[in-house]
Amino acid sequence: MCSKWNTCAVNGREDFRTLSTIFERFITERGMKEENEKIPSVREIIKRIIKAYDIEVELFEIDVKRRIGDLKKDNSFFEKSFSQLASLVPEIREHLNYYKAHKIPPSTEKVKNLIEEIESYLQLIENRNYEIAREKFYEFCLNLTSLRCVYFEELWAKQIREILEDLVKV
Amino acid sequence: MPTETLKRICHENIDEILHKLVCSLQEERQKFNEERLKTSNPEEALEKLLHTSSASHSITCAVNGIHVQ
Repeated sequence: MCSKWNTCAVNGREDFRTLSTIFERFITERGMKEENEKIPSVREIIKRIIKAYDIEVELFEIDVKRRIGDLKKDNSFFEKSFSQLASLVPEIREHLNYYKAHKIPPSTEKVKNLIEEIESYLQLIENRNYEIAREKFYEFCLNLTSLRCVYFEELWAKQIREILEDLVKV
Repeated sequence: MPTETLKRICHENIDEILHKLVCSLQEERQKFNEERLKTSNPEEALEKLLHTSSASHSITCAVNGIHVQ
């Protein structure tokens, strides 16, 4: 029942919680000053990544309900999780706004297309279009995950590595 | 999924089942991380964790049919 996508969401979130703990240990062990402006930047990036994973884990739960509904030939499993899905819309929009404000040139076109597809899906949720929302749900989840992954590869991982290198030099 | 198991899943218990599932996946990952990072210094541990995320990116792209650069 579980695809690689949803296992990645739970594992990824746990990895970044661990990463956060180790980063705090790293600062303490090296006696780094809290006023070093680079430290909050890393914390902010990690916080954003964990928040993105929080959304994906909730989507994973909704996806399991959708799949159970499919197996039981009972669409009400997905319909009953619609309020849970709708409650995620503001958070997802906040992430989309962040992505729009932070361009990553090598993937601008890919990002633009993913954002457009996600936004059109959010419209389906807002219009309470259960049937199409159920059909396109998995694609929506993958689009959101792809967007987070693209930003991880093109921006966040590079930023974290650069900041860590700078911090080590201090 | 066995039919009997499927029959037992209903609206009333599905959230509890999912909560247990997520918790057990999390615990499994915590143990995995503890084990693989126990001999690493913080810099190595951070790099290992960043590297794993890159690997999961490739997996997601493969699932999603996106070309991995």
